[in-house]
Amino acid sequence: MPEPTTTPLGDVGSIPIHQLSAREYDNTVRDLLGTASKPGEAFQSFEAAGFDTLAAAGVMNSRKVADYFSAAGTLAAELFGDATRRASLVTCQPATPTDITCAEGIIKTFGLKAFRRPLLPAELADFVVRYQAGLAQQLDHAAALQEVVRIILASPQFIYRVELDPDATTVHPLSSYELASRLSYLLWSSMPDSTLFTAADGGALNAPDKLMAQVDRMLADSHSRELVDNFAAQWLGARRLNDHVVDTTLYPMWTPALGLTMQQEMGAYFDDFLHGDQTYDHFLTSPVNFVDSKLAAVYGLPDPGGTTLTRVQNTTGQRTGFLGLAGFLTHTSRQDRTAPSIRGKWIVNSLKCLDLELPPNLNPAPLGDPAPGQTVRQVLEAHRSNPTCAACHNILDPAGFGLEHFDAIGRYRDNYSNGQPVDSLGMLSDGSTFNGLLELAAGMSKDPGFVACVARKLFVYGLGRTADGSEGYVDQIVTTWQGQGLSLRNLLKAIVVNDTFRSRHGN
Amino acid sequence: MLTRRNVLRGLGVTLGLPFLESLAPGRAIGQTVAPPKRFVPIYFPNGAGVEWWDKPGNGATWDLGPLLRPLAPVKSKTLFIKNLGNYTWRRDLLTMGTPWYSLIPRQDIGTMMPAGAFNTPSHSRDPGAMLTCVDGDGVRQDRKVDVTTSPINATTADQIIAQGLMGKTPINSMQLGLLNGSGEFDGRNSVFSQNMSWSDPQTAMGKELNPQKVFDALVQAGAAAPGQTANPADAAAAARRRALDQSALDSLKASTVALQNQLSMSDKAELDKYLTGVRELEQKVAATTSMPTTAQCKPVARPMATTDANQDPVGRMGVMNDLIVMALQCDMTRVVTYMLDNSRSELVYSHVAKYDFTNDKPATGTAGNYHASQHAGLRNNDFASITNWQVRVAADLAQKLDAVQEGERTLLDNSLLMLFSDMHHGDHAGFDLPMMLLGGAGTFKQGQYVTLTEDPQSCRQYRDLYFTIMNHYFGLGIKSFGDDMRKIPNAEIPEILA
Repeated sequence: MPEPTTTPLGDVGSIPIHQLSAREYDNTVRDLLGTASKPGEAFQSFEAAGFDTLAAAGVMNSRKVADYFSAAGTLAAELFGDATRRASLVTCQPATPTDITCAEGIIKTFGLKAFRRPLLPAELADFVVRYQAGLAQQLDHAAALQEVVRIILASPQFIYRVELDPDATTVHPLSSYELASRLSYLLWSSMPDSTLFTAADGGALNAPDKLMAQVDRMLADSHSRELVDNFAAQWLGARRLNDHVVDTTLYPMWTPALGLTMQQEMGAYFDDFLHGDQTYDHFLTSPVNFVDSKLAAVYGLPDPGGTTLTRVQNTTGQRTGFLGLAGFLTHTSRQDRTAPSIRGKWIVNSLKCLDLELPPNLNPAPLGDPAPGQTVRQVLEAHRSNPTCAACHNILDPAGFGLEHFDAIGRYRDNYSNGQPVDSLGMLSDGSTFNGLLELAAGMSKDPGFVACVARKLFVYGLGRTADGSEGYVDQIVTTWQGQGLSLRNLLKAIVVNDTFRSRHGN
Repeated sequence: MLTRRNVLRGLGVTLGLPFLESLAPGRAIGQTVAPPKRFVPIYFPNGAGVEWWDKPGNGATWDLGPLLRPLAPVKSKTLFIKNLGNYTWRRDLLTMGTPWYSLIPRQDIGTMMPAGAFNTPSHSRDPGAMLTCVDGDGVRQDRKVDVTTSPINATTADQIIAQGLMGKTPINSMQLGLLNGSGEFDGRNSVFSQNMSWSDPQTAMGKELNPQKVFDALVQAGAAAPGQTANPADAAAAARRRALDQSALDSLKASTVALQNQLSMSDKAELDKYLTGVRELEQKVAATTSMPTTAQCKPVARPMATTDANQDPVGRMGVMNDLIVMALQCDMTRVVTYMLDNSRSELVYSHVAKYDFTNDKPATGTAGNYHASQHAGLRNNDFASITNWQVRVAADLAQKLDAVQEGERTLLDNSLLMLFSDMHHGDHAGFDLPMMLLGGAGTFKQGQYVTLTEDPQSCRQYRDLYFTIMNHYFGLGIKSFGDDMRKIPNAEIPEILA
């Protein structure tokens, strides 16, 4: 196979055919059919590189095909069983028993939306054949169309995002329909809307100003909440709170409802940077919280009243920014105590994009619980006296130590439960020391790797592939973004105008 | 209306013809057949509470360790195997500076291990190798695909056996899951933590957690009591349904092939998996015209649908085990791969009463977080209580199978259950893995405790166990299975054979 064409920046990449994630599938059938059903929730889903949107996470097997086929039948039956929804689809009746022009028109309109591009003539012809086969089985016009809808919903052209190459090597721009799908799945985790289809039909989507205008338009649409609920919820770990367990004998304040509030706050905090006017360089230092009375109690803030989250300034002087959010502090803790290495590892992986590889052939020494009268720090310092362990733990632990003033559900503390005072001294990767969250947040905010990391995460999430081979392009996105001011809106724009988003090499 | 489902629900009795006189699928009436052999690997994650796992024994002289007590009713049909490993050997084994077989201490329990045996084990690397006996990271490196994100592995032993039995049952194999604990994926595709079976290196088969779907699949495949016929009105509707299904599947096949013609080799291969699924659906559509049933078949009641796989684990355990019995008894399938929980599960086993194994008496409260307790030091009663529950699940299944007479033997005798984990205990190690066989009468020793050699240069690996099962039990004539960086060829394990 010929080598892919590369540029000085590397490889623009070529995304394999790309199964919709279960969530994207559910969103897509919602927007396509107007259904509230979520069949995807019952599919077995996988993830790779931290996201379920990766092409590699779309595991296809016979079980999945059966699930798709069954869901297609159920969704089609539901659509045609609802008089209003059926009427919006079945917009004509055949003039004579053998008239196919009415069915053809309906299939063409529905098919474009479902396949996210115009149907090929052969596809249209086959669907008409299937419509006629339905009539031959004594189905009426609508029931025969229902069969076609079922087939379309089970088709690979629907369940996969497909991008075609003119040949096996050349770097080429995406078609305008392919680009419309990349935009809609990046910003909405769903299919393009009619405005995008119209723009795609006009063929004018590929120009940078058009793409950037779409970002503005699509961010203004409520569907862009998916960047919070899908991208950020996976990246920042909010989704982990669904399954997180806290030992309520040690933390009687903890309830599943509190966990849900923490999860919602993480989303609201991120959204302050997405739809609000905050820039990402303040992500670790914005003294803002979103609280209800339960969470205000965790933070030691006044009860704002009401059951929804209220945006408040945190004036306690104890916490600031993302690293002070109870949701983050909780999901990176064990059920019974804080674990500085877990918090540190999460920060290093998720906020700095450093993947630490375990030393080869590691025979790990156990890392047990602190003995009575011993602190977690003492356990970890003993662990790091082993040089093999130190290689990673010297990087992982210091950030976690800086957060030791926050317990396993994110409450501020000066002393551990055994009365020993908290020591939150740590060291940044540049060797400078810090004490506590406020200094850690300020120091990390200056780390160039911190700002670059969100660009990489959004790239991986949005393109559904790793950045391997495209490092130069990711750097270019970061440079472009920094030149425009560090709002997440501008990051999205820098991504969509990048060659990795607008083009692909033949595969 | 009298549907098949309603009939099944009301079906309280079974027709108890002995198996030898029964009508097995695809066989002529009156022809006697040997009862089929089945393979049921039962995986539990995170290793075992090894401090209380077994008591050293010798041959027929052995006692169940504290964690194994649930097996008492089937101890006479249990083969405990000590010292079987699935090392993810270092790839540079034979060129290491220190000889790979020189012994180094294990950091926590103080026993020794070969220097070359530790290839950075983890909760995603180890389970992916349990049924392949090759290191999946190495497979992906060799194929030049991304080690961390790609779902590619190797064909698993259960599937090689299932493929060897292809065509003998309506369902070639089943992949089931009991609980669905979440946990981290240790830097790899989550498929390695939540899935056991690969039908080929590209195809992870997934698993079914919903008992109702398992039941429906069995009934659709023909697991109905003999003599049932659908009423004529239903038959006409069913025929029309089949014609429409077939038309839909024809369309899907044709459009997929047309799409493949526009795609790269790797994308074509991806859609081949889709096509395989469509063809299997076609077979199911066609198969409903003739329902193969055996006189032995005893369908259970249709279970409730489950949305949360972690609700009511005790009830689910009973239902899933009943369904496995139904699947095997009705000869709907002969290979069932059963994953009791996901690797690195952080599920809190609050359905398990905590037991104080240190003092051998019930403790207060319930067991905690599975993975956290695995790493909470040796002699941890939460972890041991969870391991004990996993044994109870297998013991429950074994007893249910043993209660079904099949000719002169029981369904357990005619099945080979394998209870196993991918780790020794909290150290992630692939040595001396928790492992026992149940059933397999006539081929494998029963009611015995077998200790294999610990010598690194000659110790036996899982690949040899599968090699023995494939060839000695199923007679598949497999030449080689799995990898061994020591370059030792496959061989059967005579110590475990009857």
